[in-house]
Amino acid sequence: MSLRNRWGLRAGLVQLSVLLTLLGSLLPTPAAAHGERATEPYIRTRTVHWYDVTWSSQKINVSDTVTVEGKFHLFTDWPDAATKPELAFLSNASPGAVMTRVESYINGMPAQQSVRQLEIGRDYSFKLVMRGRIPGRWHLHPVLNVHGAGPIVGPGHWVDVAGSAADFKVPVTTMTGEVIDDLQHYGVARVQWWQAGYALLAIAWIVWWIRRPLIVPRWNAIKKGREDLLVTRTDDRVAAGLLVVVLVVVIAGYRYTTQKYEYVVPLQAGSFKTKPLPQESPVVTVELKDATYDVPGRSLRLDVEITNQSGSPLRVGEFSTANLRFINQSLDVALAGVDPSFPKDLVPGSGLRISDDSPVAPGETRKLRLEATDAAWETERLVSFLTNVDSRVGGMLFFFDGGGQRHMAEVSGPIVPVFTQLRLAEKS
Amino acid sequence: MNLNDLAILKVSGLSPQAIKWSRTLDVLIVIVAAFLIWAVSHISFLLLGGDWDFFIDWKDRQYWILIIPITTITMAAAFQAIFWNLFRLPVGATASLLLLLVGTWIVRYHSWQGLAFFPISLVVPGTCLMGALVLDAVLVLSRSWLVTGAFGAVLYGLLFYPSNWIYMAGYFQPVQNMGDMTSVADLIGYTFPRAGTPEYIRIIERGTLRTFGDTPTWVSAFFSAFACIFLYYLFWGLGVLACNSRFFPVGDRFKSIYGGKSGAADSEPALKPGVPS
Amino acid sequence: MSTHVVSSVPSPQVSSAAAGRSMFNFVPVAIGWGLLLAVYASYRLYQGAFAFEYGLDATSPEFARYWMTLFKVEVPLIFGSGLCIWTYLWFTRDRDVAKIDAETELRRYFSLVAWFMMYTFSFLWIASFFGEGDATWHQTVIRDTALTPSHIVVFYACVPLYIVFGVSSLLYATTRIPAFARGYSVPLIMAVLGPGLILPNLGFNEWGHAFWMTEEIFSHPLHWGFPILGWTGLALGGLFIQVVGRMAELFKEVGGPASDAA
Repeated sequence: MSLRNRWGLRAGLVQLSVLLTLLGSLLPTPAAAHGERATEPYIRTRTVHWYDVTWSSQKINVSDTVTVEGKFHLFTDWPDAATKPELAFLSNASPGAVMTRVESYINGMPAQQSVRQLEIGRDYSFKLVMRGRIPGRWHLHPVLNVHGAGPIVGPGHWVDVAGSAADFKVPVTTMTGEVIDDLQHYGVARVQWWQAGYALLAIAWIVWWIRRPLIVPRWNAIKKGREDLLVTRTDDRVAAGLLVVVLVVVIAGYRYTTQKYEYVVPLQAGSFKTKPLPQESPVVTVELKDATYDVPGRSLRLDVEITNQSGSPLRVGEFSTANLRFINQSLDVALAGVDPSFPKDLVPGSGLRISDDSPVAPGETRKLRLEATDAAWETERLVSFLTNVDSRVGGMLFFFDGGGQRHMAEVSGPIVPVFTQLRLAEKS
Repeated sequence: MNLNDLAILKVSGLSPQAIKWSRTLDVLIVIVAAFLIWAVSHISFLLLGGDWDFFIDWKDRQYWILIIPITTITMAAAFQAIFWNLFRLPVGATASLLLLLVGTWIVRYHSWQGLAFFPISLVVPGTCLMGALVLDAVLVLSRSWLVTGAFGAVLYGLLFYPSNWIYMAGYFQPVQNMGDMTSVADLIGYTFPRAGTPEYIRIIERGTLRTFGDTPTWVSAFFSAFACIFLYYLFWGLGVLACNSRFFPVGDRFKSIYGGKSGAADSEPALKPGVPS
Repeated sequence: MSTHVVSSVPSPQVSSAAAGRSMFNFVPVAIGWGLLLAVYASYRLYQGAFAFEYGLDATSPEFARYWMTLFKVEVPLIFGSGLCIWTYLWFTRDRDVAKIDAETELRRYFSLVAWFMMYTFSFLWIASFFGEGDATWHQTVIRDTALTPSHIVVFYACVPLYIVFGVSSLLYATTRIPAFARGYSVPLIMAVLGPGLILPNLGFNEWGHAFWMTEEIFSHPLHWGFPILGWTGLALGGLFIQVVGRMAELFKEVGGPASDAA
């Protein structure tokens, strides 16, 4: 026993020291993801598409706020395996309650409660106001929890919170006028004092019994039929007294409390509904003809047929999927669409390559090959084809007309992985 | 050591030396029992009704009041059965709830606050300790599990709500947030976000008690009291069942593996104990 | 207190050679508890340092370095250590167990209680401390693997640890105490096997979680295997009868009868 523990402890200490050394020397980056990389690609590319997401600040002090806002599009080709967004909740991912939620809105409506009946194929705006609580460097993501599908995580950005956690307070005034200094500690002492009182009563009761000759003597007494010695008249009186004390304390305490808190409300449980953002009439249709993923080259190739139904020429500016944004580097308006606050690691530098980048004329139908190449496909675990039951991929294509007006279109379909260079040559 | 204690020792027929050993055994058994009661009560409650206890914004009028008593009375009844049947010690229910409360508070501090930065106001626990005291007291007064189930278990279920409302009521004061009226408890839950616990996942009253006007709490408390009767009997029975002291014969194969010199496993067990009458 | 008891009982009479000798040595148990406490405290400190820092993304290299390494080291280390203890207990078994004297038997019963003290202490850490700690993790972050920083501690360190002590208790009783060598003790097997089955029950747990139960409800029926297996700890009642019943006889045999027992 002691041998086992000694070795266990020694091995643990050795391991701990090795890890601490590694920590000191390599300084690995703390996790930037919050578990979303394990979510299957068909969910991440075909459910919630976050766009125009901005962070108001990346450096705040304790008690200061940071606002994350933007929009999300609910993809039409929603995968079978994930429940449709009939019931959802706007949340955020962060390592514990390091930041607090001050306000949250979907389409400008307060989102303290869950939202019902979100419409597939439509767009919604969101806004999260978060407040720094614990100093540190925290990765802040918007999250849409979809009942039955789980949390679908939006893009995350680092937020540095400086200062002292001791300075953080959440003061609240109730509608009955009671001023709560700090929501973090509210009511805790009252709970603890009362429960300590209950516990003292319980301890007294247990000690009353276990102070006596206990196990074998009582066992033997029962065997000899002398139960009368084990539970006596005195015990009866103590038990009766205890019963009275408990009832008096609870009834009196309850009466006092109900008089003190005249106005109370139950937990709020109603959900809300909101109409999606206005939908523009489709100005461009996109048909996916072929999609391949070049495994060795880490490149997604989409052969699409684009029909411009608008009155102005259009150019492809961006392909966005699973929070990755592949930008057409030669289109200034598309580049300008990337907010300076947007995390750089989600905007691959190689951008989006287009076989023919000239504007698609009004009424024209054109076949294009789009190539989105980056190691992010691997690091974000978006190409785990061999382990997935649903090998379809989806994304949003952003088009821009000459006036800089943006038009969005969904693109989705089956994707074929190409594992060898030879097959790749055949495909191209 | 009072006269009653001396009388018990006398009846037990132990020599002074054996009494000394017996007292050592008392201490050891109390320690073993405390660890076990603590562990079993906590793991049982944790995974049958823990959610309503973890968070202040799960403590509703319909389920919290119902589920906490009916999930905790299980182990309270089982341990009461064991310690009453074997030693006539009416402390099983109280010990179960007291140790559960201690364990809960430790975890609320070290884990919810210490590991994940949640404020204690979000994770204050409730307790059925007052009901447990009543359960043990009724057992003493009645000396009967049947009566304890009929009266003690009812009080156990009924007492949970008022004994906790004394210190929880403040969390249900109305407060305004983003233009909506909500409770302080809801606001605490909203303010300190949990990515794995979205609002909709709460199993709370969603308006189905409308026919009872403003008194759904007592409706839930009475239903809880009713359910507690049956759960008390069921788990008292499990406690009695757990006092099975049978030995099965080890069989020839074991004997040959064991390689005992002379009948290590030959004869029937000398001891055939049973639950004392 | 016990000294007082001795002087308070009329006509003290000690008829055994064991008189005045201590039956139980608390030191090994205290050392065992201390070491276990150090192990559990280290785990908690490790979680505090690295769980939220490197444990949120199971696909990251930091996760592999900080958490999977721990997992790969702890499981063979704990079960390996357990195997050594079990092997030792088996090979040092008393082949003449039916013939031991009453005092030896009584001492062995006390030792068995010492094993229970270790077993119940180790079970407490998963059932209470790290058990509810698991809720802290899964109800507040996004579940992305079966081997989370919480599970690597609660399931793959705490469970193997108490299995080691549970099986050791069983082996100690079976190899050294006549009643437990003559027959398989139903309550002891229940008390050891039941909690032990929590480990294979993880298969059901993780299989169930694969069905989109990425958002945690602790009280979900999927989790009910854990409390039900935990209830097997109630078999302590049956064990009390077996152990206390025999010890009560041995107290009289070894300690001698009281002169004027009723």
